[in-house]
Amino acid sequence: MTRFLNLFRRRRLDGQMDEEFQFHLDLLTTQFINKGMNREEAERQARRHFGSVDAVQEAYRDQRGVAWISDFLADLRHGARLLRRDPGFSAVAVLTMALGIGANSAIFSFVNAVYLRPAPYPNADRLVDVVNEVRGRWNGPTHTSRRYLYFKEHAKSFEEVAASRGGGATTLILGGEAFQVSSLRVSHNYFRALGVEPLAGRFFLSEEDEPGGEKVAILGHGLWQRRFGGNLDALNQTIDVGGEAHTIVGIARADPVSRAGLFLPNRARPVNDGTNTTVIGLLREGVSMEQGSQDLNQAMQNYKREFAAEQRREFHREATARAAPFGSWMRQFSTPLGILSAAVALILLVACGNLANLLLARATARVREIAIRLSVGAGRGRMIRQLLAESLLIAFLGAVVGLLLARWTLPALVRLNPIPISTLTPITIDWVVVAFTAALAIGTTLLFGLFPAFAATRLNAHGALKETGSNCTARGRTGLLRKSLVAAEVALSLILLIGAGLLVRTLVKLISVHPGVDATNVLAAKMPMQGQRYGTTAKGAALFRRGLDRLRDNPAVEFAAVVNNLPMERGLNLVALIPGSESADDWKLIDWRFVSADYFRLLRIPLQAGRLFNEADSGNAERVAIVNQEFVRRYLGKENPVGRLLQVVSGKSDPHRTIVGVVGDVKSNNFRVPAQPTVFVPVDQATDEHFRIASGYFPVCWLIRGRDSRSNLTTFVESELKSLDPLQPVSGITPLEELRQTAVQSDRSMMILLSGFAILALVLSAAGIYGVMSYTVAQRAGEIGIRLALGASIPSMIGSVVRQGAVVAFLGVIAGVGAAIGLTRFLQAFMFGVKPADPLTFAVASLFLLGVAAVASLVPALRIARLDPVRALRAE
Amino acid sequence: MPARADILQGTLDLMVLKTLASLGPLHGYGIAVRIQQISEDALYLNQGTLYPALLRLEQRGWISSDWGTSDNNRRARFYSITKAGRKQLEVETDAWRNTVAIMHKILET
Repeated sequence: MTRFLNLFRRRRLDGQMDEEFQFHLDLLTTQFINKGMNREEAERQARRHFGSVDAVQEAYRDQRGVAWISDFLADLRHGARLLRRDPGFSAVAVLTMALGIGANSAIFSFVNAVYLRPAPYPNADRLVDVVNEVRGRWNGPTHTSRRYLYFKEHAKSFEEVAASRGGGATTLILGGEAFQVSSLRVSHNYFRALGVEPLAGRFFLSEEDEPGGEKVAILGHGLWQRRFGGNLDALNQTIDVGGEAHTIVGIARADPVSRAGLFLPNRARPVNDGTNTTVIGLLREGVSMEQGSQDLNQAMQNYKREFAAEQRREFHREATARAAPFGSWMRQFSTPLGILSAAVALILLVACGNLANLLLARATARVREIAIRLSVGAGRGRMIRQLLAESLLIAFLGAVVGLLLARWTLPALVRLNPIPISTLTPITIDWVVVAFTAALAIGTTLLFGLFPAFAATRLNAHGALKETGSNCTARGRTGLLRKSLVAAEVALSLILLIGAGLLVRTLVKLISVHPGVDATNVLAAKMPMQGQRYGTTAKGAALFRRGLDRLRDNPAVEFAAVVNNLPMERGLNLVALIPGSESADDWKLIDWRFVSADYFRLLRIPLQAGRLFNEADSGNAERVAIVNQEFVRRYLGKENPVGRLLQVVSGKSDPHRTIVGVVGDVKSNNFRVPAQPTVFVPVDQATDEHFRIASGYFPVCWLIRGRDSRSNLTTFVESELKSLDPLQPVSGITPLEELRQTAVQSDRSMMILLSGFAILALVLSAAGIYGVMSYTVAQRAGEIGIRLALGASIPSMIGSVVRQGAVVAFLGVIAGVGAAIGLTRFLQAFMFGVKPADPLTFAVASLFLLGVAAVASLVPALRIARLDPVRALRAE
Repeated sequence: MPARADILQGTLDLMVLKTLASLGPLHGYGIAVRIQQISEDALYLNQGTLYPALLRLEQRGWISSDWGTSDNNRRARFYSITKAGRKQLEVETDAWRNTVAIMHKILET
């Protein structure tokens, strides 16, 4: 290393060299003067004796720097020769490293995409998320429109404060055909804050961002390609978005983060419309993140004082704001990424263990060669360097193959989508991942190569030379070393296996959770209702009534119903009051749903008290509501719920409603959390405002229950709904059962990934056990030969070898169980219905691993049966 | 005047190690003078070539160097032999004796 540094310290070292040479020349000169020469003659003689100073300087510099490189290249060449000489060994070694490194590169690609890659926007270095926190707990960069406008006005250290709001699924009508597109509402300065330019046309003007501004839209790149064939004629065309004519004023460039098809003006009004606005800021040139944070928090505290009356509805008493690097919302993925990274790190350790073992075995085989080289004067350091160069070569070849493996498997991993980020940012292998992989190769070289290199060169040269190669003094010690390595591998694999086992059990529990609905034979279809065409409850309800009548006309249909959004996804989050109760003034957070009369019967949601909705609950009848059990439990306690009054609040208040029934709970799409307190209202009785808000966020969901499983209603439902209003797109006609599966999608992905990693580790450690036991059998061939000749039975000898392997595995299992008890609690966030120290999982995983170990040692042990005692003895 | 032998490739290292082993820390000039003294000027040593050799030995960890003050009160770099160097000296001495013995046998016959 010092020689490498020397390359950079040239000037200082040259000075030292000159000083040293001058000192020498001066002494020589003095010597000649003392012999009686005059100074001039003496200096001439001194230079003659010293030789050409230039030539010596050159030679000296060469030795100082370049020798290191040439030594290293020679070592690499030597290593390459050795690898070529033993292609079997090389292939196994490289493949082992490729699996270990490849898994790490693949998972690191996710880490890189989330944490290391700067946001793909020109202004990324000054962009921040305006984050909302309570006592340091992350609440995301989302705010109400009113708060966004407040930040925009008061946070002076920002050049821009911009907003975006998910516009949900919107209906786009083009040439008489209706499409469902995803839209994003953005403030007029949104793109300016990001620093991007339009591909064509322009972005929004500030007056278009005002309430009541011109109806304009910007096409997303993807939609422009798909629906307009990438033709610039799209500019200035008029399109129908949600029933209203919009002019296309611009076309956006392909955006790696947002996949929105359509951008619409945000048009924030200073109201509390729920924390649905994502706020970003562009710091002024030269302003630090800290300064920006202070500024934002000051604004937040002032805001809280100004709107203190509405504290409960909008913000926490202790809420603070700060600036965080743009895209930091991705930190929610840190736990799953941490778990996956830890899993692949364990695999890499197992791979390193295997490789160290292979190298130890090889060093033992090469003991004579090494001893000879040491005895003819090769320094031990030089020998270690040479062995390390060979390891480095293996690691780098492994890294190259590993990168290829990662590249091939990455698309599948992204599809598996263990963490839902691939829709937000592309996950690719870039130079950062390549650099990480290279660093990993160097790191692992030291990990698996240093140890065997030291062990190999520690041998006593004389002893090794005197004894035969197969019977050297170091055998006992390296044998123990190799077995400890294998035991460690077993322990690491067991940790992974137990982790995977816990997730398998979690998934089984999750799947068996009763969602509160009977989804068999139920089809679900989504229809976005955003926009003016169905802007009032009356218009929507009329459409629903017509559709439901048509669907029910089919004798194969038992029930048909509508609800906002899917039953297992969240409804609209609103706030309710319960007049006349003890806590009458408290705002109560609810999940709000409008439903048609048959909704509960269709999903077989049990009625607990009171009655269900019926056709009489029309727009001009008495206002009613049904609540779920969780609502009663949380907000009404022991009071009798039926007959109580309820008021749903939003911008304008709902009329008072009478609770007429209580129904069973339905789980949301996150089965881990209990059902949310829910308020159902008959679709005809929803206020226009609530109906519009709900349609703005969620599509309406049509539900159809068939009379039996044989009737395939998909085509019927599709054609009926399409003919209902040809300008209303219908999407995703899916069995509800399948949608249930998506609720456990990320659990399943995580389980599959961890299981895959556990299997990989298991295969590697089984290979390790196999290798060590093969080696043991080969080493003990002579001894076994004698025993067989003396009358020992073959089965008993096989048994003794297998026992040896089992003992190693058993020690590994004990260590692994100990470590797993300490580590599985980190998995707790992913577990459900299972304890981190679940005895069943631990027992099954341990026994399974022991079984694999037994098989892995049995295979080489069976070679004893083919052993010829005479030959074995002669070889000794 | 006897013919001066050029230094045999690789033996300079051995001479330097031996010199440092028997005399303790020396600067480059001291080493050169000592080698020339012992060989009674029979060796021709381009004294400058000593320095790359010293550097090489230091890089292998057989000798170490330190800046100190010389007899004439000037800053000078002093070289001394390390533990590894002493071991290396033994190994090389053995190897050298072997070579000499073999050469001797071959030339005797």
